[in-house]
Amino acid sequence: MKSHSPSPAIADFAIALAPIPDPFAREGGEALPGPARRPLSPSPSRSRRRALTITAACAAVLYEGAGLAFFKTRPDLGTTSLPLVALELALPLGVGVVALMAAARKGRLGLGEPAVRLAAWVIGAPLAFAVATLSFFPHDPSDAAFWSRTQTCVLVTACLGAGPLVLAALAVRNAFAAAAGWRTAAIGVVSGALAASTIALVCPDGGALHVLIGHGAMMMVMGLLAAGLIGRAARI
Amino acid sequence: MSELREDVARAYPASIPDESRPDAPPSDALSSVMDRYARGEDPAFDDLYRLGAPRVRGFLLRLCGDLALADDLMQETFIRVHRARGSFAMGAAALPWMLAIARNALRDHARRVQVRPGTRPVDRSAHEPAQREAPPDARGDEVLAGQEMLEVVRNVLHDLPSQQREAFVLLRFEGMSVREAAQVLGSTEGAVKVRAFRASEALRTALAPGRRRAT
Repeated sequence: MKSHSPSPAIADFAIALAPIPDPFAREGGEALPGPARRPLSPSPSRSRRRALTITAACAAVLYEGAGLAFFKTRPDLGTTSLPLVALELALPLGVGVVALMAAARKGRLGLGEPAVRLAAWVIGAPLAFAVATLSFFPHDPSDAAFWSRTQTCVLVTACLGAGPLVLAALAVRNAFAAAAGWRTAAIGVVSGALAASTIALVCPDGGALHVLIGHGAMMMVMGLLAAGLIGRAARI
Repeated sequence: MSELREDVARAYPASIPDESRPDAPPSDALSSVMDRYARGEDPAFDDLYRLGAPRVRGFLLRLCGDLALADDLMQETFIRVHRARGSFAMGAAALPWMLAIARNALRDHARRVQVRPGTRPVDRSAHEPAQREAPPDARGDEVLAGQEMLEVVRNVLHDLPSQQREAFVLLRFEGMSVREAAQVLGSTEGAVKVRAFRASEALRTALAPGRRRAT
């Protein structure tokens, strides 16, 4: 297999790269052209952008509330095991918080988390959700209606996640200078996680496989969609 | 190779990057101006351009090798900086942020050239190095050797895969650490090291005495 690590002899990059002169030093130092024009079109300042982000987040929560009112809360909410419902709510919310922190962290240089760490959070958090779901939730009763129930939940979760995803797309326009794909994927996972939490209050089916596919899979789907659809708009 | 480098240093002192870059504006000054601009102070744009444009232009020029294109992309970079100023993090370093944006502008240009053949491609032949003016006390052989070395470096840089060139330019000419370069490139530190190492190997091979004469 081809080795990708540099030779130990070139461990010190400063020494290895030092003897190479800069062929563009002179041209780079030539008189600069003035700016074509001073930007006249208004652009949001930091405080306006923060206000826009907070507004989008509040609107996403309101959208989930409206979705809950539209699809109606599950009928067994007062009778079923409360810890299980709490877990069904908390697990995707935890994934959402982790993904949101990964996307929002500024990092030492203000360029966000390093891509590899972002990738670990964006992929790792939903995977942890999958492991926890399969470990803590009861097995699904084997019946013929499993796939139709799950399919319905996938559609409802997609509807619940679409609103936050659109709002996120508006909020993160021109927001990321580096690793925009991974950061928008994290935003997509947050939208999916919000929807997965809301559907836990709608759907009474608490079977492990149903929760995993019908509710949780949308986190990964939204992550992929976000990276593909809004990644370019979010990149500066 | 060290003798040649000494020739280059004597004939063209500016081509040997100074690690401390005394000619470059202090990056904290640039960051504080960017911070003011991000807060909404529109007049700070002039200071931002004065402090940031030389670094952005130098970076773009080293990546694309075409002065006119570097100037165009520098303007594009500052338009993007203007549009995205609200997303500049408080207390962050402005230069890596601006270089990351400049790199995005260059990549978008390269993509446009691929998709729309009518778009102006990177045309290095139109901007061959101008006759450099050596100091009057420089010896003729030093000038020739220096010119030759700079030309080889320029050609090898141009022929390198873009990822290797970006990593090498950030580490060698922009004076960034591996970690900083990895963040600007949205890559891992290991990948940046490998790319810069391969670039430096290509340059060292091309600059080896026998090989250089042959080219």
